[in-house]
Amino acid sequence: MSRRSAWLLAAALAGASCIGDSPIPKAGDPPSDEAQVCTTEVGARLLRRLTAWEMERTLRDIFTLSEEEWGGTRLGADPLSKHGFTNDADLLLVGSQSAEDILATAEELAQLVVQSDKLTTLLPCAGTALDDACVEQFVAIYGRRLYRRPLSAEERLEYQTLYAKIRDQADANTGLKWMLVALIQSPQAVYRAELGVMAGEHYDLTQHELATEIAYTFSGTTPSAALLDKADQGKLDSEEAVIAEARALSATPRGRETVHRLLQEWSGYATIHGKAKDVVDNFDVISELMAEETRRFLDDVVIENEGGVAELLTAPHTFVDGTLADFYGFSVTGSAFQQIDRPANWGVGLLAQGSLLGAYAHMGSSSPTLRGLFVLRRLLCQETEAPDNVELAPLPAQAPGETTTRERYESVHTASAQCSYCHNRFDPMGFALEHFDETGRYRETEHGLEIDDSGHVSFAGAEPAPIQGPVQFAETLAASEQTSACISDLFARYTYGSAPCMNGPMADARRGLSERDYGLTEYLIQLATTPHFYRRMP
Amino acid sequence: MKRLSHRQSGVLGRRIFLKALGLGIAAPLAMRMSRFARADPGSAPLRLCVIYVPNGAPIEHFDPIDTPTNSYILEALKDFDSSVKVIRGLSMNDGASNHAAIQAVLTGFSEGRGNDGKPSDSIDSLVGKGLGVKTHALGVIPHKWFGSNSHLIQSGEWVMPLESPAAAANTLFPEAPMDGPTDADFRREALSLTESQVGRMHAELAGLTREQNKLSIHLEALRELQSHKDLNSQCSMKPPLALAEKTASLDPFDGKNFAALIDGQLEVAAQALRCGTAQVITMQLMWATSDINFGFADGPGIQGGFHNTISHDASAGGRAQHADCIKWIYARIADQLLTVLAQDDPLDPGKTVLDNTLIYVCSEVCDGNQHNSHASDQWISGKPRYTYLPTVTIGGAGGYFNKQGIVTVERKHTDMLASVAEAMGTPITSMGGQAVQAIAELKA
Repeated sequence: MSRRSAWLLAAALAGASCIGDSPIPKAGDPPSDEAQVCTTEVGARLLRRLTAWEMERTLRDIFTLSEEEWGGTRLGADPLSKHGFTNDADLLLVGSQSAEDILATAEELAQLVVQSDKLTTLLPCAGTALDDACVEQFVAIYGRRLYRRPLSAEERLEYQTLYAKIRDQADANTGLKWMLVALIQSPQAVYRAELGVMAGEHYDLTQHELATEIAYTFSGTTPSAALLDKADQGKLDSEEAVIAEARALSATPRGRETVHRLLQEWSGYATIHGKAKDVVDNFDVISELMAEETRRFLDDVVIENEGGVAELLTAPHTFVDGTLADFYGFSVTGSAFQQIDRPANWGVGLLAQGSLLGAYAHMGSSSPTLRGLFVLRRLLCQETEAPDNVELAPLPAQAPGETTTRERYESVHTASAQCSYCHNRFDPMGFALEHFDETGRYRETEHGLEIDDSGHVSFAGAEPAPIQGPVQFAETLAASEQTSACISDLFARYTYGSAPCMNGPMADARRGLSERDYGLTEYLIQLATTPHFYRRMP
Repeated sequence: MKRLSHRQSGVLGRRIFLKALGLGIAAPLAMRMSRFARADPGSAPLRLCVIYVPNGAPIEHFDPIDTPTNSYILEALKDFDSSVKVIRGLSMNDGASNHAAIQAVLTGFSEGRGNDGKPSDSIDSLVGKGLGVKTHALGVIPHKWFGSNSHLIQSGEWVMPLESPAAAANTLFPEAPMDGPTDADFRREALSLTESQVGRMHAELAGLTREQNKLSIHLEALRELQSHKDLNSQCSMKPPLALAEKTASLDPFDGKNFAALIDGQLEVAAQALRCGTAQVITMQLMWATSDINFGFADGPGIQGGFHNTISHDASAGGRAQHADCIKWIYARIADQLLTVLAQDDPLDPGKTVLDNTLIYVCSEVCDGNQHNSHASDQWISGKPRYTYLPTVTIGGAGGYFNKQGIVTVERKHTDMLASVAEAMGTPITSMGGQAVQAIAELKA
């Protein structure tokens, strides 16, 4: 992994960072997000700053730069929404740090591009003479790719003027370099515009805005020249055309990576990286394998087999290599990663993944609170507020062989009415996962003590649903419409980069997922048929 | 505390200019030094250097007795004892704990987002803005694997510290302007075009307040960027930076180079603070769960990853090794940074740079093994010991601090951050929507 591509992972890995057992909410979104009154099926006109991940892929694709040629964007990790997403349009700003990072990225990349070998590949006329006509050609080709639309005559003139001014003071290559810097950091390149043009009582996204939305939503990068050609020709003018493009891009490696990124940010499983565990020396080795296990699991269930919420939560299999199998206590032959079925009652689906269980745990003990909060927030879309002016009581010290983790938690979180008011909504879900220790490994007992894995699921507006153990817990969640609704809402939020309005066609798309007409990847594609995808309110 | 009057300040500016010329510093740099940013025209030419050292410290080797450097670890600062203050009793604000608390170290909040839901500006950034100067971030292998425990946050944005001393030197000491146009001039041209484009887009989005606000922030950032470059372009004389130059061919992400890299970065920081080309510098020494093998050349000679193997070790022997590592870091700070800052301040005749500097050394946890970020008794080597966020200040901060070397105050670390801000002449009353108050016990 290159230095900068690794850096870009930061936001994803930071996704669901939990730092204790306090259910103090972290307000990540501006109030307008939650307070939005959903009276229409289309959202507001907006600018979406490219995420660091999108910017890297965009520039790499446009200038055909390999990881060896270019280390990647200098742009740091993006701010996280409270849902753990890095692409919230309200939070993606160009502050002083980002402006500096974008400038540094542009300078570095422009320097690479104007080197003779690269330049003649990208701009053959430069091999003969880097004259005004050749520079004009550069602006036409690469300006269009960076702007994701053809430049107007005035816009082209601005760049040519900048080029000429610097060329006259230095040389043609220097002029081209700084002209490219200006192109890369231009607001048209940095922001995805979803502004549209007035069409009666609403705004229709332009063909180029639509091409851009399709490309970034379904492949996480800029539209190809071919897709821009279609926009130029007005060919993205029907639902069928849009869906066809969405489906084609989803099937590409870039498309699969994009779906996976959503799954990673939503679940936060990659936060297992960097976690230390008391009972395992060099847990980094195991955590790396656990992250790979979950990546393969999600790829298989959601992308390869087009599974839905039920499959995601109840798939009986996982993927381990020899080291990880030894760690978990699975029986496998061979050392390569392979698909295996979990032993009976050792959990199923996503919630049995070691990466999640280890990520939502402490260094020295499991945490029913952290695990329960993950389910509450990411699978049931419920929030929790810590009451004001309450001194949070510490948990009693661990006493292996004398008290179980559950007993320690109950002694504080259940015993106190002040605590149980909130904790009773999520701790009991975490209790159902207590057969997994803080490393994510199954345990029959906790230091010889019997484990009580009974609990309940706190569905909104309903009596708590009793559960016993991880399998019944997963099945209960999978059978609930609330779970499907929550996941579909969050996925739509990620797709749109903003809070969706689940009315009309949006509700239809969600229903298709809920009724298992299609899986999660197809649900994302169906979002391209909703009015919000191509229209905005005034 | 000595405070100069407004009138005296003007005299000081001219005096500094002339003295700087007398020291052989080129006129453009001398000019810049005389324009050194001050919160108050009559105040001392203050500098701030924040140094983040991950994984806390083994308290039995850190906690000083009677004098601030009378402990195994802090003995490394013995030559600067009169400038050292140890603040005992600090806890992380906002319930931030464990290594993820790295996000709260400078912002005060566990996810860098305040009680008001807005990005909480970090203390270095707040001070920089208060003084109207750029905040620089230098790192020593600051990141490799990422997670919420890998970064410091400034201005609500993750910070990627400059990892290479050579790059840091180029940033903090840009080349002297040559005759004719330079990259800085061309950069300004490009930024100027971008600024006009953003401004135009802003105008076109009339009625879309939220989107216009985004572009207003963008515009401000572009203007700030151009003004910073203007300031940097005034610096025409780079002091000798032998240690930084030695690292030019080294991989800045290879732990084997740790000693050379830390020395290089400290040298750059020291010289930049001394000559005034940087006024606010944050240094991130490793990332929070860094596992750099401390058996590197010219190091403390301890084999094992710093985070998992060394800092987590609960045994007395392992904790002693952790102490050796931390002590070695403090020794580098003393040798490469403090020795330079102990020289005469070219900006304030009669004082040393250290007199006018606040070095704030901090960590995200109290104890590396216990991982507590709340000041509390912990069982260590069979007996309870009072642990706290290991916090050290070095330097006089222009006379802000009293002379007492060890202070015990059971406060949230955000109050310490308020003290840092106040010491720098840029006082704050809240962070992230939460009230903060400078710690009175620290003041002169």
